Amino acid sequence: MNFTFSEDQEIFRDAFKKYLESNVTPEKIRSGWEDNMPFNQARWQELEELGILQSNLDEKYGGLGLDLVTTCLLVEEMGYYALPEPAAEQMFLSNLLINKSIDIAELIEEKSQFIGVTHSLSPNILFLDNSSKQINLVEDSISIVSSKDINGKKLKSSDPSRDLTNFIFENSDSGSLQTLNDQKSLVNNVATSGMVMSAAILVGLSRKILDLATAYTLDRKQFGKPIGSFQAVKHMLAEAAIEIEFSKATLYRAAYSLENDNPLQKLHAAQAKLQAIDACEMASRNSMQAHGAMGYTWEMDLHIFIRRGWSYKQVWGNKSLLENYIMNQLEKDLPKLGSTYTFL
Amino acid sequence: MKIGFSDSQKKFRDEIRGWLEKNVPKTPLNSFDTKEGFEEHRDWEKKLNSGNWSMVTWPEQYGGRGLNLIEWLIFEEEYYRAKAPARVNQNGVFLLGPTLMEYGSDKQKEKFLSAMATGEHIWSQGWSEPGAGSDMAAIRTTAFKKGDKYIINGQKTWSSRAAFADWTFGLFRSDPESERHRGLSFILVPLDAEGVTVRPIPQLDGEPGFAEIYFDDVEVDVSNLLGGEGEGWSIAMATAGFERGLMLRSPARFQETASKLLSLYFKNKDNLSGSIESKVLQSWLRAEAYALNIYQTASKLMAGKKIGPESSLGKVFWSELDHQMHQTALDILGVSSELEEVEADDVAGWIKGYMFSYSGPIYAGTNEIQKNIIAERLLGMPR
Repeated sequence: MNFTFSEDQEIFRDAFKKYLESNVTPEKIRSGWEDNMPFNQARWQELEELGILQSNLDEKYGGLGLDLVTTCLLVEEMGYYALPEPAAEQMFLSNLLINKSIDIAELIEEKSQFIGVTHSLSPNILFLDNSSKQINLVEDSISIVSSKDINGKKLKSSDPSRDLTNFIFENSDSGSLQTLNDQKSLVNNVATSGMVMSAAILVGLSRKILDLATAYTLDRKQFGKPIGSFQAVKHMLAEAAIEIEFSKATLYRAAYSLENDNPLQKLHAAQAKLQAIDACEMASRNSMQAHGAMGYTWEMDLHIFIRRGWSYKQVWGNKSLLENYIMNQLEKDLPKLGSTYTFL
Repeated sequence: MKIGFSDSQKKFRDEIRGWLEKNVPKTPLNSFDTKEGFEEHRDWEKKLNSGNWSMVTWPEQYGGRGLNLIEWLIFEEEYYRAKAPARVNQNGVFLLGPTLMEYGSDKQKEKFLSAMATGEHIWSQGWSEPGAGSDMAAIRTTAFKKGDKYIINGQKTWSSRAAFADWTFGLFRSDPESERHRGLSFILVPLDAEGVTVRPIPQLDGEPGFAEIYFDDVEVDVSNLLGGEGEGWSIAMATAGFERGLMLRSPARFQETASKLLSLYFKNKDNLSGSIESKVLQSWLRAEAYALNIYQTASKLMAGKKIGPESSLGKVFWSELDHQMHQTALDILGVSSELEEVEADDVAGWIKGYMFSYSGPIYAGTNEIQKNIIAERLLGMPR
């Protein structure tokens, strides 16, 4: 039993954090919003050059073969900085599909280009214009189609960093549609991976949202002192810190179970996502409150991160779906509950 | 990262499981907050010690097994699984014991550690006073040196286990000129000394789980001073760290309660509303999250990292969780939940646990104090 990260994992994470710190600033995110182009092609290129996009792709496809625990750490930081480009999706969804299926690997020639993945847990297409292919997962089949054959309507997200299109496939003459059947376990695997991915993003977002609030309460003075010196404010933010702390280990265990194909990986992923949802809700609500009216403005950066949480709480497993799943699992596993089964 | 138990850890689990299956009393002992039950629990400590299981985390040189934190967590899981008796000497084994090993003289270690391990000395805590609760630095009970004695005068309160215990440890003001956290000393006091009066305080369940201790010119030998005179505050902070931290609140206790709650829920499910279901689910999720966090923390500590104010995060988390779980159980039991002696569905156990769960957010530093610590020392907010 060793529940700690290796030095290499931490070094990789910290190096990536440095990149994000200077290259994914609220100003840059806002300028993408203003131009109606949240997907910055140049930054995508940088992420490719840094080896991030292919980091967890198998070595035979030109990747680094990075494990999903390290990948999870990187994605948590993408959440922290609210990276608009769908690098997390590329890593946890399309790279996973390519790694696990030779058939899919053969159909995707350009593996560093963005490959969108849709599923009933996240049915709208993210960044259609920037993706070369769309992969649609339905129960036990996987369809792969060229993005130019999709003819959906643009949808407006409450998060301007998310460029969404609904999924309408136009059966054009080019006939790019390829369907693989009997893929139930792979479809399930990707759904689980999506839960871990969205949980990691939420944990990163929650940390950032809390950091913004603590900084603000040091700065803002009322009654002649920083509002952060008042207990009512301290306790609100302490409560958020507690929720965040207790979402982390659950998340890393879920990533570990996914990486090691643990038979309970879906349960672990669902646990991680629910804890992350709780953390993000508490952090968002209390940090907004600590900001007072300023938090409710477009000008303050806080909402860039809070909005992202609104979306990621719902896609790839929302509260209701996850709770039902876990409750059913627990009823089945009742004899095997209790502390001696934590790491079964 | 490698999550899972090694073969030797599994073997250790089997060993403790085997011992407990053979030795845990078949019928539950009386509560250790009754005179009769206290002695039954003292005997259980002796029994544990006979198998060398009473102070497993202590180093081998002090008669322990020198278990690392992961092994200790395994021990605790098996202990709760076996429904073994509560530890009447937890003040000694988990709080004073480690403090003695760090700050005690060789003579003190010799005198107190093995008597603690065998249950010969059961310890109570002497921190709070009527005017010093959350504000512990307001302590006024004095211990002035006179020759080779300390003369103690004043009053301690909320002293856990003191009604029947043999000894108490706590902070006393040894420097008459001192204020606040300066001039305090950490002193060990036998409760049968002349001038000590113990007045038990019945708790919510009617049993005297804590007591007031009055000191009227009590003479204590200077050899009972732990650490240097006037260094009491920093030693007490180390003790409080053990208490808030890992040693007293292993996750097994909460996970076992969560499983019990799930069983109760599924048994009665057809008559229950959605809000009960979501609380049951949340209880299980949070008990698991607590366990995973503690395993991660234990791994970090074993890798040589330190934890400080982080332990406050856990204290708030488990104490709120424990209350929510018991509250939910009573909501499921409905009209029978007030019937203290009903054994079906363990109503008796739930109601007792429910009362106790009100104390979690208060003892070992109230949750409000913990949140101040989190805000000031982890988040860097101003005092």
